[in-house]
Amino acid sequence: MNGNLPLKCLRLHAKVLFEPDMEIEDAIAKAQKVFDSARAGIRIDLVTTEEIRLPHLECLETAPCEDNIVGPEQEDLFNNREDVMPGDVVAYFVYMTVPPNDGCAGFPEGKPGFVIVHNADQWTLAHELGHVLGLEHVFDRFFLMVEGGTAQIKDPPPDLSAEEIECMRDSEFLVDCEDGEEDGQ
Amino acid sequence: MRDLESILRANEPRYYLAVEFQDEIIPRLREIIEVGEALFASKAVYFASLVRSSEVVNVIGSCLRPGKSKEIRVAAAAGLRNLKDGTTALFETALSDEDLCVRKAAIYSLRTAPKSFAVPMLLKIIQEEDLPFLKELAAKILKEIG
Repeated sequence: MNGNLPLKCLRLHAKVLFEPDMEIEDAIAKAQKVFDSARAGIRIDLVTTEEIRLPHLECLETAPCEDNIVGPEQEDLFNNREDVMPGDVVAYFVYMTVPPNDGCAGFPEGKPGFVIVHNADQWTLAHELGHVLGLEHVFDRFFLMVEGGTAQIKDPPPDLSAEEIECMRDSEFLVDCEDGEEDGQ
Repeated sequence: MRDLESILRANEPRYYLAVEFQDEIIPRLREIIEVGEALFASKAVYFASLVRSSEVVNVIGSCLRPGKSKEIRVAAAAGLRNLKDGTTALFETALSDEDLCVRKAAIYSLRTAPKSFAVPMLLKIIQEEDLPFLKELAAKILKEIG
């Protein structure tokens, strides 16, 4: 559908405050599967994984995620960008958010990232990453950005529309891959 | 009437929709809290705190009991910020919980509690809490509410 799009790369860092139930590499592989099956021409590169001890932020107070605003604890957490280049995206793995969410994609200006709780669904990382790359919720359970929750996704891997792919590829957080590959699928 | 499960299954539930529900939803919320998996159940607890029902205080109180999972207790301690009355004993339970996440959520909830109650509670936390960052949080909130 999209032909062979020039491959764009997303540099992702994992900062682990609380070990998730699902292996981080597996969650990233699920997100990659979504991008590959939609022929989005996006590759996720996990650049670093770091355990950070911040017990006061393991249960993270968040502003309403849908408003893409952040509270003081999110500001505090997202300041942790050691070894992270400007434009790199950071996934912060916490025990839970308060109020309870599977994840939250609000981030402070210039510090792109998202939060994932320890018992999130297998598609949550991909979903939150979609938000960071500019996607909004949709009301179709075949799609990654389903409003009703990624646990409700039908016929996985979930879909991305052509418009969503275009939106993501326009994100400032994707860069040309250094190896210059094309999406050959 | 919106579908409760669809709201709670969302990755980022729209909790503000709880104001559309009243007493009739409480039994279903109790059921989800009892048998739902931890994340789903914790969403139900926080959602319950925003429902317009006199039963909400009892729901949140039962969720603060020591035998409940950490997720449930944290969500209940966070839910205290949405309750108007009958919360004194619930705050005392949450603030003496063994888990720091529960105590932290309760301290944040004191922000919206009546000042006559919140101020002595916060002063007590500043004096007696073992964890420095919870003492600091209590001091910060005390300063905010003056």
